[in-house]
Amino acid sequence: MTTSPSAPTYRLTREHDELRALVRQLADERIAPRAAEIDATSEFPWDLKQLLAEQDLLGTGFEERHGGTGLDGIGQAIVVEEIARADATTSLIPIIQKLGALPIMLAGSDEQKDRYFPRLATGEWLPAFALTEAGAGSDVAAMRMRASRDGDDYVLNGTKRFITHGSIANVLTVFALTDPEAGGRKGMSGFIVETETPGFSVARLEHKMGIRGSPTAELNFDDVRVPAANRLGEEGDGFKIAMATLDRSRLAIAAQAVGIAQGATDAALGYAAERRQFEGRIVDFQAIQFMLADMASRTEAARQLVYVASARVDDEDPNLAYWTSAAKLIAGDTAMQVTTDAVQVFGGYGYVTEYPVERMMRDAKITQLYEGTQQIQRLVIARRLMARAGIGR
Amino acid sequence: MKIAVCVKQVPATTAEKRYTPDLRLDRTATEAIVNPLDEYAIEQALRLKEAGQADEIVFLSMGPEGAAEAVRRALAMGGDAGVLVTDPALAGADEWVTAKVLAAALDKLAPEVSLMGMASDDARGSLVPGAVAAVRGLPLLAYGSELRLTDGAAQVRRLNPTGFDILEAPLPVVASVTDQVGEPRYASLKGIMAARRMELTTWSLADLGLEAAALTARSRMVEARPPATKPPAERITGVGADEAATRITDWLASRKLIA
Amino acid sequence: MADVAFLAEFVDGAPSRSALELAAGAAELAAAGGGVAVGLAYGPGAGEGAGALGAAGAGRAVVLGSDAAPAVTVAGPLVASVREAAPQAVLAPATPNGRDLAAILVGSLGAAAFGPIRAVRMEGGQIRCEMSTLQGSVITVSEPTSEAPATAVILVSAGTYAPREGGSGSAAVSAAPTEDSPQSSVRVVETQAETAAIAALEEADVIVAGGRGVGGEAGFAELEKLAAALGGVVGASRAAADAGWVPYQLQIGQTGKVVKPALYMAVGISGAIQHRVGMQAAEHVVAINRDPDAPIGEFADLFVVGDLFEIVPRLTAQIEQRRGA
Repeated sequence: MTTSPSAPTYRLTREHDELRALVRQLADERIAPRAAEIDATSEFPWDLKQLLAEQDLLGTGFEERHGGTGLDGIGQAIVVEEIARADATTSLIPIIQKLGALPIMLAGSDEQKDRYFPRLATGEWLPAFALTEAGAGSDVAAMRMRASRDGDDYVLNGTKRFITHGSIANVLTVFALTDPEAGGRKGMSGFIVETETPGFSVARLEHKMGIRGSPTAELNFDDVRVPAANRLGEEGDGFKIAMATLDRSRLAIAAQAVGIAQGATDAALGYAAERRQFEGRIVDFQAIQFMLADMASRTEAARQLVYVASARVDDEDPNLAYWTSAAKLIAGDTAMQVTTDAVQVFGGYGYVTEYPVERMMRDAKITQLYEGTQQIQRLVIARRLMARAGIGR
Repeated sequence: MKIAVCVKQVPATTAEKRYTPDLRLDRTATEAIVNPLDEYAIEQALRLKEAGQADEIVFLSMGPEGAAEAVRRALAMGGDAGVLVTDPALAGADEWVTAKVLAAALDKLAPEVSLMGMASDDARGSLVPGAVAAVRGLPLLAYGSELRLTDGAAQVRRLNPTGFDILEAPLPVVASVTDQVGEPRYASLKGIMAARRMELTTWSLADLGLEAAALTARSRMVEARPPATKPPAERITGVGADEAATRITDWLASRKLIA
Repeated sequence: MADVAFLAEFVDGAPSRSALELAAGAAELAAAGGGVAVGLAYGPGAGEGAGALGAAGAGRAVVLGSDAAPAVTVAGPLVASVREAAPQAVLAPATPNGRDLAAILVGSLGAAAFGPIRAVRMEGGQIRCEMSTLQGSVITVSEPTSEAPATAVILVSAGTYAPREGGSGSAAVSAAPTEDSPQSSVRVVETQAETAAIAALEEADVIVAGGRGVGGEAGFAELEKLAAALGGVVGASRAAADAGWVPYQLQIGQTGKVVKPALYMAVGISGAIQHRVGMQAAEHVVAINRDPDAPIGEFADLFVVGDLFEIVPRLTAQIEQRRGA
């Protein structure tokens, strides 16, 4: 019995390099200079959202016929990675642009796609993905929000929590129980809800450790009426759609984590080359060199895993969840480790807000938490390992 | 109304990677780039098209085959077509040869405005725009901080000792613009993808009716050496402002720069 | 033909500083071969004033035009004069006007072009031009090839030659052949005066230049005082001009003025390569910047790490005091 996968391959092309150079230039010139301010004020960077939209960087996951640029998975990862290297908050803009739309990509009708994707691809509208509730985090099926059928509509009642961009979205993909008796796995359905709909409101925003410029909202649905034409797939498909969404979207988080780790490594290297103690540059001390080497090589390993997983998703590999979970697990843990080490390299200066690494460390933590905690990722991976090895549960 | 913008491919400037409180620009590019001052000419042409004053923007470059990249980078910012003049005989071309070749290509394209940047990073005299104007027998409007089009004429706003002059000449003209045009736009991702798909026109000397034998460089380099290294700066650091001012004053006095 | 011609721009009937500098340079070069300097005069009052070029070093002068039209409009008479006189070189100032005319000459004559030069030498009857290229990273020496016509076109930066002192005599003046050219159709349709007359940066011995670090017009007012105390003028980096703190006429750099003062004070200027190109020929460079890593520290003679808002007023006071004492 073998647990090793067949050899997956991918190739980085010149187009990928050009894309990276384009995004890096934008990130260095326009995003990085704003990062500290965004973190300090906790204000969503509308100017950068506008910039990314104008540069066609919000439509990378959408097809050209909808106004997107239809980049491959690696291209989409590169966009997120290069932005996250400059600022994790801003990198959430392209991430959520895709996440919010993914349920429609996976289960929506052509009519639904034609209705919403053009505005999402151009960034004119912002989406959000509303699954989590106060009592249903890792345990998605413990959801309580209801969607009751009433004529040609569904009426949604309940509360969602920790919804990234929930307060600024124009449209949400929401999951609710159409059949509470059947329980979360079989009785959940997905819906497209426009936030202008009466009964929808933003209850509060969270104050967070990191990604402070990204609004994380608690959303109230009070008799929110949604036409049946906005249901995704059939009643009862919701859990499957949500899981399929997360199987793919977690890769964007992995790319974000790689970007954060790279930004921290670059900052630490630059600092160590300038900092002088004991009549020498600290970058010449082995202790620092060993740390930098570990940071760089682990970041690279995470990056390569993200690219392999991206290629698997593009190929619609039946085992893609194994790959995306592994990528998110490794990348998230790498980001936390690397940013912690970066603060260490900076010493006392790493702890103060004048230097960027303390923010990077605070930002990195979320990559171990959202879109499936690291513990959930381990469950996913273990289950796939066992299934592939023919080990029953 | 057609505007032809000449773009030149130059080596990318490399810079040391440096740490600053915010992540600083990492400029370690090993490839070639569009001459930075040409980007202002590209930007000016695209603005005129957006304002409805020009309907066709063509980019023209003379260089080795790889210079097609520069044309594509320009097209990624906008524009309609690209032309590359390439010929092995053009290696080592000087200002005059460059002017003759660009002039021939521009005569073939026959735009109302032939537009260029004011200088290139690796060139010295920035004489090509004026030389092209002379070869083509067209009026020259150079060093414009802005290019405007009026009925049958072109205008540039040009710095004079106390302000600006507006210079005007009847079309067709050869013009150059400075970096005061305003920040050039970034190439958008869609622009890059569209530029990659565009077919470029390629011309050799024969296509332009030019003979390599007649295009010999008029100057040649006989020596190149690094500049004499300056001794490192004396540094004054970690002292109060009064002390700093005193030390500067003494330094200036010791060199007889003040009484 | 050993004569060396030079462009002599006239302003209000008198030769400009560049005309005087080029006259001296051309005379020096021409003397090596037993020729004379030939002034090619243009601009308001050139007709009446051209004789004064004699005291500056010219053997004779040719008047290309005398009105206030754009410099490029004298291209026709210029090309005709140069063809007729066939000097071994034409020196042109490395200013926009000078470059316009130099470029027209290159295109019309198929001439070898050089510059802006650091030095021109005659070696065995051959012109050799030394230039700083690739944004100051390489010094090159170039010469005309055998295919080049008799006249080389050479751009000269301000301050390369010093005007002759105590010269006398008047140059013989002739009119240029009239010749039409497409450049005659260029005309000034409007003039926008925005600032009072600014002392020419290219002629200044002392320049106090401000950059982004100066922060605004108030900061530049302090630099004005320092410049006055030092007997110099104020300049600026492109960032300060873009920000609207100073007019563009004060901009020093690759896309602005190239200067060669005895003392250049760079205050709040980071020292990007595009700025360096404009002032790297300065004899003494003093930089004040609060960033110890600013690139200007690499080519300054004295680098002061500190707060310019604290240092500059104190420096001005100390220098004034010394002068008073």
